[in-house]
Amino acid sequence: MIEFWPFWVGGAALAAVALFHWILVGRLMAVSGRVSALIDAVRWGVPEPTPEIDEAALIAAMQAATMAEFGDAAAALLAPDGEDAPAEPEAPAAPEAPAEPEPEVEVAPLAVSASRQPLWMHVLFFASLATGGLVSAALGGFLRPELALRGERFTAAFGDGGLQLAVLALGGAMIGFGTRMAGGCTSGHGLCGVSRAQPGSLAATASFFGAGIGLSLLLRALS
Amino acid sequence: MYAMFVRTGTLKLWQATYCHSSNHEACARYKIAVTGKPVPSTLLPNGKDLAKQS
Repeated sequence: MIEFWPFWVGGAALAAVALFHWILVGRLMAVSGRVSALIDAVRWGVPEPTPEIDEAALIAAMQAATMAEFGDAAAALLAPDGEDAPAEPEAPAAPEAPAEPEPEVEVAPLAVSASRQPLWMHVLFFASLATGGLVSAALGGFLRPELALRGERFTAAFGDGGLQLAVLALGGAMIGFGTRMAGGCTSGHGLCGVSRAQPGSLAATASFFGAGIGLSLLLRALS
Repeated sequence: MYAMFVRTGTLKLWQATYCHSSNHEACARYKIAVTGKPVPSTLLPNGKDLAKQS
């Protein structure tokens, strides 16, 4: 019988991993994003490396580009009675372009898209993922290759033959499809998005766990 | 790009023009994204690349 950590210990450990990932890589942890990056690399080739750009220069360019795009019309664009006014009229006015934009102190660098990271970083991430699982299983004394799932209810519902494999394959395909459509998975949405109170992540995570709970109850009823 | 918009305080300007309106199909990032290709992290919705302007 596997002895799992208390839920609060596991949760704290996951949060620590996500935080460590952000500090080390400068990017939110998202497993499906890295999968997408690997797939993109296969489909479109590895993207050209991004030249090093000074963060302050990038911010200045952003502000200049915004002024060039909107100019004096920015204030009118944000007016409550403007034709294209956003739903929140308290939006800030046209951004001021300081002479020397200063990045915030002790703030993580601007996030870099996963697709711009070197390919080896994605491979290393997944290798580490698998290694961590193996180490955990070995330390827990349950490192035993098995073909059957541990879920007794799943086995009772679908047997241990071809039907089980077909259900697993279908479930895996649905996970991949849903993750891509949702723009993230339980790591990106659940760990990082929910902690930042992102509406999309809250909705996605509620859907993930809602569907999981519902299916678990269904399997219990079927077994 | 989102982090960059937030950091520079320009998020709502760009969102109002390209995201929260019927003009989203004019967004250069959207046009690339719908093809499945990776979107350059420094590409603005109007098609200009910040990396080439900084």
